[in-house]
Amino acid sequence: MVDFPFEEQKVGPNLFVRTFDPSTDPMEFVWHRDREDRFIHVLEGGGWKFQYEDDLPFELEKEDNVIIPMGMYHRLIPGTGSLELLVEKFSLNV
Amino acid sequence: MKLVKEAQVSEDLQYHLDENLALAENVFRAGSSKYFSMFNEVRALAQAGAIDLNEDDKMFIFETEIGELGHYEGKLVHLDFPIPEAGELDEAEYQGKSVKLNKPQRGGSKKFFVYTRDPKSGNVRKVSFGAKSGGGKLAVKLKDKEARKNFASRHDCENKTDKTAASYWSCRLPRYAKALGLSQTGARWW
Repeated sequence: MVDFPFEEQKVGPNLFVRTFDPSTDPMEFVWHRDREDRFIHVLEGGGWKFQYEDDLPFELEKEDNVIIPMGMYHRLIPGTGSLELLVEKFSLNV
Repeated sequence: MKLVKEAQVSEDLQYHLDENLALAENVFRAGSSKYFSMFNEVRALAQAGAIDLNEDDKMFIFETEIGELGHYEGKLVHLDFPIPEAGELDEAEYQGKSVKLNKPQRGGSKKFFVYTRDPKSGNVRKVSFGAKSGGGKLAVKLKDKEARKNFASRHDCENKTDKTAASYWSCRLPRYAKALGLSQTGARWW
């Protein structure tokens, strides 16, 4: 198993709160794809940015909602404060 | 990168100019269509003398064909773009726990390959370079300044100009470090 660059707390079926520390090495936040659709609700933005494949990065602000379709490349770009996300996974296998 | 003549640029290039990002710091995923489009747009501007580039970016634009496509064994391939043999990274679930798949790890494979055009024949060739760490002589040691210096000296990197030779690509790997998700060195050679 590999450590991820976030703390995760399960808060419901398929529902997780993830907290990202801005002091984490930015190289940890690599481009990747997920195996299920994800719905993201931003609890705290902290100046972090989100980027979809072939789009320019945009800043995550509190109360923003982001949908990440299964298989689509995406990444996070660290900000100056903590990032807190509510993540819902839409997978029958979770 | 800095425009030195008035020119119409894409929103993507304008973002790089506004954020003072070098071409080597391309914000798009290495290997994505926008990533390669950025090189092609900058190459066209550079050939028209409309953009000022740093030394590394000049190498990408004038020394390589990155952004261009070529035919290799019946398929279209991107030229002069090193590809790690370790593959891609996915986040997945395994026995109820999140796992990372195929992330290049210390101690894992450090081999790369690149498709490049042989200037003598005009044909595209596949060049493999690097070695498995833990015994391989070309293991990626980007953070080790002394190792980089010794490598550059031993392999005479400044005089390696044959893109069809593995040593050309091994010498230049640090310049691709950011794009490939490897550690940063600030070095041009090893």
